[in-house]
Amino acid sequence: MKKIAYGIFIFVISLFFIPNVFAVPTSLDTSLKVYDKADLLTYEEEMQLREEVQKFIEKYDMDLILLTTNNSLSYSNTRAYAENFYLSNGFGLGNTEDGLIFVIDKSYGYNDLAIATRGHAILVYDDSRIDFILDAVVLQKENGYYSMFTAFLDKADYYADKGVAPSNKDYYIDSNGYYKHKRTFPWVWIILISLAVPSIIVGILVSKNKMIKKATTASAYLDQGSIQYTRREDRFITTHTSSVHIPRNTGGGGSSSRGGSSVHSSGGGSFGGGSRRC
Amino acid sequence: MSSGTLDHKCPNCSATLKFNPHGQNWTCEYCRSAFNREEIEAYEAKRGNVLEETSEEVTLEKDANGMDIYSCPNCGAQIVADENTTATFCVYCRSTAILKNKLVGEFNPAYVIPFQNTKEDAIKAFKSIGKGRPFMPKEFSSQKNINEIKGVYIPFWIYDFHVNGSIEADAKRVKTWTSGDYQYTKTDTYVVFRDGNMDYHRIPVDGSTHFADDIMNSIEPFDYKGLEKFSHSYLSGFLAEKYDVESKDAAVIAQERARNSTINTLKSSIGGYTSVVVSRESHQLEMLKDEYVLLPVWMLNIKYKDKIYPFAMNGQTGKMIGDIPLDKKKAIIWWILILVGTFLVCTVVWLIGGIL
Repeated sequence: MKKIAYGIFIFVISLFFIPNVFAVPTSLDTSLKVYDKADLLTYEEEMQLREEVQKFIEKYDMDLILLTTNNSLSYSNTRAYAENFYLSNGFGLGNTEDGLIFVIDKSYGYNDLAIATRGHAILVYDDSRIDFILDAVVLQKENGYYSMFTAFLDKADYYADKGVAPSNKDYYIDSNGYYKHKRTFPWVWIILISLAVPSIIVGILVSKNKMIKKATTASAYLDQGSIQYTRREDRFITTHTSSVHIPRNTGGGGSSSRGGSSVHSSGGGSFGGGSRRC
Repeated sequence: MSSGTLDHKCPNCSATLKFNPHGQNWTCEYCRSAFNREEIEAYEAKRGNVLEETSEEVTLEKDANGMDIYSCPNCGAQIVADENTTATFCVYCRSTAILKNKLVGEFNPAYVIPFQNTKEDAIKAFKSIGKGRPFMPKEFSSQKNINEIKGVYIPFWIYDFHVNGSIEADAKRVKTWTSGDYQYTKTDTYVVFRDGNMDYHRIPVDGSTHFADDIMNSIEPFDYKGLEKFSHSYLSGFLAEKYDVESKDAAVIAQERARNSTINTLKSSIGGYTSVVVSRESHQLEMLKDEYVLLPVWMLNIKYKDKIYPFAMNGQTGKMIGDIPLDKKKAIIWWILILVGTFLVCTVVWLIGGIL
């Protein structure tokens, strides 16, 4: 009985890995970084790109993968495919798997462009920077795939050089790869509370030493039953209504404390990125 | 009684008979006999030891300082007393001496609340004054600091008033709400009128200039259910004073208290507004009754670091009051420790919040 249960358990667990098993090419040289699976580039172009990519990786200590495909139909979209490719092949540098991947996907007949960022790259490439990169790539559509890749490399390098996007200054990547809002120690509040609490407590205790007080009222001697009102009138005089326009915070798409990068979490860690069709 | 003093002797052994606050009777310290009020009054009447207006001038003299001099009915020694003293002791034989010419006529109190607690109770209450007061210097409540302790029947005027008060106030009710991109504020303005009558019973004002008003305020309230018809026998074993502030002068203080409470009562009946500002107030006050009573107070003088701190205990309820010096060093240390503690707690809460 135990053995059967164990067998079922193993079977069920293995089901979770099946898509990955199919997706992952049995042997991929992860040092190449440029994979032209849809065969959109010439050999020379591929070599040229590999050289550029290696420079980028060494310069910024972030992984960079360029990929073409025409076989992403088993994924919900190109971005999901890119993320899976990145994860299942163990790309990324350091504990937080820093790096980004750019995919030109021909599976649907047209050009599906997708960028996926992970780790530190999420902080560097915020939504607006990804938009600018994709804009630059789309502009090169007429000049061919190689130009699109070089446009990507050029912009990626430009932003990586600038470092973390200003919109992400309050965010960080935690040790598990999650994109999180920084918690700044609330100094002002904690100091105010730390001053107020002892002052109130000590103030009350100090006041207990003073027991001699002059009496100014006689409420203890008032016969509550004797109180009789001869006039209780609340006369309405006027009313007045004013209105003030509330300035709405239009930034951040309406939700507060949103970072500069739209991310989603997949299996332990966050991915940022964006996609475009052209 | 040509001496002008009354004393109380034990019907059985003629020793001094004193009022016993715990038993509410008179006990003889020597033969341990105890007597109730009826017994003592019958005995005193038989001795002719009663308060009555005497046409003859009592044999009292004045010394060079204007102090009154009496002769002790027990040993004949001279008793020197302040002109307001109505009950005291002979310093030689400890006999009680009640100065009867100061307790007759207009100075005859209507009621007295007899002492309910003893000197020992007062000492005990003082020794535990530090409870709940961590900033009292540790040695302050030591018994050795009690410089002087005396049980005094203090003259009080108690007043009954009927007060008619009237107030007019500007009241505002403010409501705010949000609709669309606008925040609206609606302010309703009212003029509010409140007129009313109310009665006050037995507001006390001490009738002696010897005692600070604020100390006497602070030992309030007395439970007037304990009022007894005055009998000089209650004074036996205690000190007593007669009033030196006339009723009409002391009444001003009680009237002010009644006025403030009347206005406060009327004001508190105005409800449901965001803000209330009284613009006009008036009152008429009618004194229904004033009575002269003696109320029991233990007076303590505490000597601490060459300073005298006056303390007082309500002789009926046992409420002990007085201003205690502040242990500043301890207060500062507490302040710093609580500050550090609060800071640490806040920090830990913040860190835990980060994990969750």
